[in-house]
Amino acid sequence: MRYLLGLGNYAMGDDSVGLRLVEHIAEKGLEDGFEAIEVGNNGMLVLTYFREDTDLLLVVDAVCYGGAPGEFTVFTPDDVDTQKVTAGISTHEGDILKLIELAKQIDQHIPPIKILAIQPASMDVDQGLSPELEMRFEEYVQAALREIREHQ
Amino acid sequence: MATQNAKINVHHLTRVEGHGNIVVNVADGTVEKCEWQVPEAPRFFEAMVRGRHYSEVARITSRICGICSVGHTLASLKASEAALGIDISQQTDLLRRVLKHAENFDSHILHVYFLVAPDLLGAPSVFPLVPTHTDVVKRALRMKRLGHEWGSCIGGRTTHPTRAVVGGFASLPGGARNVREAEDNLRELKEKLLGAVPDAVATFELLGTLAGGIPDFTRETEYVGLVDDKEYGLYDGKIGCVMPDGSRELIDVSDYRSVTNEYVTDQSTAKFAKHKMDSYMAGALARINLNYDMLHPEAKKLAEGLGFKTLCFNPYMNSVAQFVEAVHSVYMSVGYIDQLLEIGLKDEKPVEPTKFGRGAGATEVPRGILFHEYEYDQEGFCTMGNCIIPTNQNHGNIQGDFDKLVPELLAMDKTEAEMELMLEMLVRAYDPCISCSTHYLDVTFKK
Repeated sequence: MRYLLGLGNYAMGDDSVGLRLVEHIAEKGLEDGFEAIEVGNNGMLVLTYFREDTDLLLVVDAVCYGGAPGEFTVFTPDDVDTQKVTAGISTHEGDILKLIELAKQIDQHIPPIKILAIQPASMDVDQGLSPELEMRFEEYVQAALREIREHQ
Repeated sequence: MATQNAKINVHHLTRVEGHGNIVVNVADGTVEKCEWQVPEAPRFFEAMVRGRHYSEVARITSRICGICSVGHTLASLKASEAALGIDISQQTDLLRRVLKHAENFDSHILHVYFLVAPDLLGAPSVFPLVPTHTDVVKRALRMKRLGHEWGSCIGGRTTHPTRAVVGGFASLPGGARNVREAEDNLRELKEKLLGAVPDAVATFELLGTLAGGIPDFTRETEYVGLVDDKEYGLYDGKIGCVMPDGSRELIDVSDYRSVTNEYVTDQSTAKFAKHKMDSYMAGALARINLNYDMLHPEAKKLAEGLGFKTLCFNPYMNSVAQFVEAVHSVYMSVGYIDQLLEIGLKDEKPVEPTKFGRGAGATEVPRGILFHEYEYDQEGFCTMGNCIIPTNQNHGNIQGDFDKLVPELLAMDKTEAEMELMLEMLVRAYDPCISCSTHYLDVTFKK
């Protein structure tokens, strides 16, 4: 099974882009052969999909990777080094790279993972996306569908 | 000689869900400042539900929290159903109870293993524990996965459940196409739950070895939580209040504002709450103090093995109470599944409204009692919403604990670092969920 996972917090502006994308795909009935899951800020749930029968995890998340606000890219966890300093895992602090690190340490199976990274413009308290991301939202949806459909 | 000077300023306490600060200033033996501060901005969910149809409201309010989204869904559904004159079926009632237990189990495992255990094992996070406690971490993740599968089977998803709707469920357990398949899904879930018992027992054995690390601090306060005549108060019931002398009071959920009495304070952007005393505690410890006799016998046996006695006035014991509840949830859900299979599942349609008015609903979430209230117009659109979350109800009690604990720590000649750890552990014990967390990645490319 292939999974499209949206991480983030609805109340924190562009941090919610992954959630909104997954919600959009589910609402439009675009889940053809994959499941779209809102992980929200319960990041530990991602580990539940680290299974032998998982063909692909496509994670959509706000990522500070040095792009211009609204730009996006796709990478695998092996392509990057995390710059985040955290005290551990909670829904407040964990991120997908930390969870992968934990899974590796306990020899848990790690399925193929891709990250659709969207450079945020603002992650302040806000119930909507910034204009920079809002205007490109359909591009993100198409990019997510392309990535997950190509991985047949 | 007592500590004379201390300056503690914990900005954004770690291993809690959201932003909270601890500020303590002691000069020449005098406590000049001692505050639990919540600096988060309001989120306006009550405004967002206005003008929305009753079928949309729970879906919106479940976003209040990614950990307690089942509880927010259920409290919302109950409030809407009270406002719409809907009586749910026995099947819906039982399925919702199983779903509620799944959330409690899932959240408690996360809190006890990943947020609290590092303190008791002397580690800053779960990561340094992996080489030394590999089996413990693996067990934690096994149990976390069970919580997810449990909630998904009933609710469709553990985060923001999709199947629980006003009046019932949108589809059968496991997304089954027919009743027979749904019953098989419940049987499979029951086997998984029973398969978790060895992990639960092993966790209690671990807690037994760590119990000496739980601070010995007590402060008498009021405890508030649901009291249910069918089971240990969790999904449903009246509002129960127990005072330090053991006297009790039961209050209808519709009268919840007489209990919460929210008020604003300069030190926090979140409201505080109080009932008969200056503050009260909600959460697992409150529930156990109110419902101890209704615990499943297996959970009670494990609690007694740890020396747990009620009324317990040590807030640090909230984490132990959470694990007692986790075991209780496993056994209660097995019992509810047996009941559902005995009655026989039906492919029910959600019950339709019989009126449009105002109603309140309450359920327990991992951190304590949660209230939702709505009013609907004659076309079923929401005209008013009110949500009172348990973390806000606990802020005043955390402050009350700080006020008693800091002078005690000073008298014990604790260092600043020791005081800071004790105060952090205290806040973590309440498992506050302040919900402003962001989850973004910050990366650089290797090449």
